[in-house]
Order: sequence, then C-alpha cells, then structure tokens
Amino acid sequence: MKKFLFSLIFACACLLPAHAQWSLGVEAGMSVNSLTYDTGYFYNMHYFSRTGYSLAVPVQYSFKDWFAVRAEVAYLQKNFGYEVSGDGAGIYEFTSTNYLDIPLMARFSFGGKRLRGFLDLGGYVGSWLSGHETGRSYITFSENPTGGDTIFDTYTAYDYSVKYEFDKTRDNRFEAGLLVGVGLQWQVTKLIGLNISCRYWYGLTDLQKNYMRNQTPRYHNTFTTQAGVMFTIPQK
Amino acid sequence: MKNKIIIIFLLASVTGMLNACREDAPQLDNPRYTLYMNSWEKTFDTFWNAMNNNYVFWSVDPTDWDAVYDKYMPLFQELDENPAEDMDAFAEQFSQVEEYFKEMTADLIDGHYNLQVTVNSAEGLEFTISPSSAKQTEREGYMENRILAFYAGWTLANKNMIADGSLTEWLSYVPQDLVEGYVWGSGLLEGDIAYLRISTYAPSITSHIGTGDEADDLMQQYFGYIDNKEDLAGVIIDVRGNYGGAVADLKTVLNRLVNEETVFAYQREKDGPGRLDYTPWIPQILVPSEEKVRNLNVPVVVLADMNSVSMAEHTTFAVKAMPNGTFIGERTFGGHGTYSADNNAFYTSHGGYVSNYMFTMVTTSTMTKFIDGNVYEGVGIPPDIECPFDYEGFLQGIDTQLERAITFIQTGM
Repeated sequence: MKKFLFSLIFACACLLPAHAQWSLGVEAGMSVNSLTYDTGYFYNMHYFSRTGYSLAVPVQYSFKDWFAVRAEVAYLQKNFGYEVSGDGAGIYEFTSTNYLDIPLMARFSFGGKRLRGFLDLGGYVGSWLSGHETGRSYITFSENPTGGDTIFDTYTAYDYSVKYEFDKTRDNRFEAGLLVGVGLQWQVTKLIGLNISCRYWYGLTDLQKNYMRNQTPRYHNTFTTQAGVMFTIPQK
Repeated sequence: MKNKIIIIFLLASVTGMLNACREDAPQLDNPRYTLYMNSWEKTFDTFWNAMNNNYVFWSVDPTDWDAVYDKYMPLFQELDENPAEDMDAFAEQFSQVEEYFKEMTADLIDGHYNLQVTVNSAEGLEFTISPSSAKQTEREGYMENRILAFYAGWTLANKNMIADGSLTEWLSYVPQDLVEGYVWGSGLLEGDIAYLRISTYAPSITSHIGTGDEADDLMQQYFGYIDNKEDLAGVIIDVRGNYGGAVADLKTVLNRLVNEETVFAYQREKDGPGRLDYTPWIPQILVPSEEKVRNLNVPVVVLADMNSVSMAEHTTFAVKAMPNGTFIGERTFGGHGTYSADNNAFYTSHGGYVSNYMFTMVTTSTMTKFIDGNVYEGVGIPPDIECPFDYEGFLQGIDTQLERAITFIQTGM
C-alpha cells in the first residue's frame, strides 16, 4: 500500500511537461527531535526532546518555475532523552541516534524572480547508522543501608557514556516517513541561490521490529531548520 | 494556477492517508495495582503482562512468552466458561490452574523466581512455584535434604578441627536459630590461614559492625587477620549453603582484600515496558576499604556449592575477579539478580517484583553478567577447582572441600 501511494506521487510529477533544470547544493542546520512513545505505567520515566544537527546534499530537478522534484542525501541526528522522577530522581539518559536519510519531495515555489517562497511535501527512507547513550545510573553493590530517601543517598551514582549497542531482535534500523517543509530562496545570481527552510519529519516506522505481543511503539518526530546554497547546472 | 492547487491538494491528501500507518500503543495496566481479577482469564492476563513488561531476563531466557499466551489464554478462558459449582469443584479447578502456572514458568531462568497465587476468599487455596528449585533436583550431586546434611557435616568437621588444633581462635555467632552450624564465624586454619564462615547474609553482617556484640567481635578478628597478621598465608571465605541476603555485606566482607577498584560483574535493569528495554551494563565495583591498612598479596579462596545463592554467588564473582582469587567447590545455584520485595522498588528499577491481591511474583530487577562476558543466571558459576560435596566425608566429620582449599593455599595446586 505504501509503495503504491509513493508511486502515485511520482506519477503525478512525471506527467508534467519538462522544463529541465538541474540544481545541486549543500545544506546544514539543526534538528529538534522527540519520540511519540506512551510509556504506560512507567509514568515516572519522562521523555523529552533534544537537539542535534543535520547535513544534506540536495539535488533538484525543476520541471517548471513553480514545481520541482528534490532528493537529498541527509545525515540527521534524531536525539531524545528521559529522566526519572520520584524515588529514582537523578537517573537520566540522553540518546543520540544518527540517521542517513533520503528524502524525496515535491517542491512548490511562488513569488518573484529573486525572492521566492516554497512548500515541500514528500517522504523519506533512511537507515539508523549509529547511536550513543550518556546518562546516570547507580551501582547496586554500593548500597549504603543507612542512606537517605533518594536513590543517590543510598547508592553511588555511575555516569556512563557508551556507544549504542544494536539489538538485532529489537532494533529496526530502517525508517520511513513523511515530511513537510517551508522556506525562502534568494536567487543571488542566475546560477546561485541561498535558502533557509524549516521541515517536519514525521516517522511512520517504529524504532523497533515487531518482536513481542503488546508492544509499545516508538516514532521519531523531527523538526529541522537548515540553511544552504543551491547551484544551478547551466544548460548547454 | 488551478492545476497547481489540485496537485498540492492531491499530494497533501496522500500524505495524510499515510499518517494512519502509526500503530497505537496498547493499554498497559500496572499489575501491582490491578483490581478485579474476578476471572481466570483476567488473572492470567494480568500475570502474563506483568511478566511481559517486568521480567528482566527476556534477552537470555529460552521461554517463548508469546507462545505461552497463545497456548494458555484459551485454557484459562475455558475454565471461566465452566465455572465451579461448589468449593470442591473450585479447589479442583485451582489445582488445574497450579499445573498451568507450573508449565508456563518451568523454563524461566531467574534463580530467584517465585510465584505465589492465593485466593483470599477461600482459605487454604494457595500455591507457590519455584522453577529454579525444581530444576535443582535434576542436577548431578543433588540429594534430598542435602542442605541439612551439609550443616550437620560442617558442624561435626568444625568441632573436629577445633579439637585437633587445626582451627584456632574460633569465634562464632548464631544469626538465626535454624539448624546447628548456621553461624557466622572466624578463626585461623593451620595457624596462618584466615577463615570466615558465612551461613547467611540475612540478617546483614554489616548491621553488627561497631556494635560490640559477638558478631562484631568475630568480624573485627577477621579484619585483624587481614590488616595485621604478619605471616598470613591466605584467606578462605566459606559461603557454602548460603542463600544470600544483604547487598551491603559484600563490601564488609571483601573490601579489605582488594588493592584497587575491582570490577567483578556488570548489571543492567529494565528501562521501559518492552521486553528488551535495558539500561547499559553498569559495572559493579568493589572499592578498597578506607580503613585498609596494607595491600595483601596472598591467595583468597571462596568456598561455594550448589546451595550458594544470590549474595553468596556475588561473593564468589568478586573473589573470582580478584587477581589472587580462586573459587573452589561446586557450580553454584544460579540466582544472580538483586531485588527488593517492595512494589515501590519498581519506580527506580522499572522491573522485577510484583505483588497484588491475587499473586506475588518474586523476580529480580537486575540481570548480571560476569567479567568474562557470560550470564550465568539459571546456570550457576563454575568453580576454578572442582571439589564436590562429600557426604561420606562429612559423616566422618571431614570437610574435604575445606581441606582442598587449605591445600591450594599451602601448595598453589
């Protein structure tokens, strides 16, 4: 079903008359990512969003001055964290996840010759490349039986910073999703344009494989802001 | 312009449809506070989900928990479809329920796992299941009442060694009046080997330190051997037949024996409702005592056997991790997790113990791996030098395992 719908999107673009103009560029920016994740009765684990960075190499094919198809190779951090409240206050973890994403989108632009606004609609596929976890836990065998009320009155804290170890049963390293973005492009010269944009990446794939009954899914929601430059490849 | 708007609308609609691809989270109820388990189906469902979210060993346990649901939910539903008409029939149904729970949990590897199911409205309808205890009966060397035979044999051997002078300066304390020989004790073997006997870590030895009582006396004597005895040849820590107890006692017993911070194991806990949601492995570190007087470089031997469980096994891990440490005896029981018998412990460990009005499920909140990278849960720690329980020897008042430890310290072999 998903393949059919993606195909439909590109069929619409392919039926349009050609106005061939290739562009290539580079963009960099920052990301703010959060998880959609209902922890249920693990309610004293509070997940929060974290920032990261993004780097992309876009290539764009303009059919018309108002319509283009754009693809990117994007390195994107989708970070998140949790902290524990109540009896476990002080326990926390920051997780950094690094993705290589290939977004594919339709770009609709409007405005004047130099300054134009644009709207992007599309989707992406990608791969979870690596990750890192930093956090604070406690050493069980450091127990001080006369300690106080909080976890770190009773146990010695342990700060960790470790490479994320993938679990092949649980971790889904493939991801796909939808995206929408808006931005502005300033055409400096006929061949060089500067742009700034905001984009929302809506993950459709669970971070986990379907490995257990009554599984709680987790999805990325990523907001990126990026700036870049596009070079139009001159036609012969 | 119209075409542009139509195309944008179509694409937006398609992307909107794809939005429906996200799965909803299941409704998860905290089994610790689940009420109205007024059917066998609800009881099974609560138990199954309690295990699904709180059992810490899913990454290594062989039990197919989804297959358990598929097989046993229909069986519990069938019980509800044929309700008992009187107490005798209900008791019969309850026996069937016990069999189902035994089958479901038979292969669980948690060495501490214990499930008690009680029907509060019906006196006497209660059962307790311990898969690890059941599995122990299949082990080579198992004999019924072996623990009692051990304590009787150890007591006789201890008296013999005191009588013949091979054990001197013997001080002891009875932490719990269970059987003769169930003691904490310290003394000198062969005049130059410090010997510490710990039958249990519950109650805690640490709670007696500094009190001036007999338990404090024997521990201060043990500390004195480590700190001051000039010709100390070695140390033997005997945790055979010790079912475990207070985590804090590990430092008390061992932290004078390490010369630097020593990682002896790693533990991880749950950090989410998924079966494979874990914290990173956290190193468990034995830190040298601040009261340490000298660095010891003598052999340290831990004696353990198939009835050494939990804290007794962590003592074994810690000694094995020492550069001069050796484990002599038998493969231990295989219960290495830690837990607190308190529902509120969930809010720090996010797994483990569950107790409600229908069942109490004792399961640990931590999973342990040794420094060699292996998880020995449900398996037991293998000895460096195997020396099996010698029933015939004990009958004659000879502790062959202790003698083997003495020989090792004296000869290195």
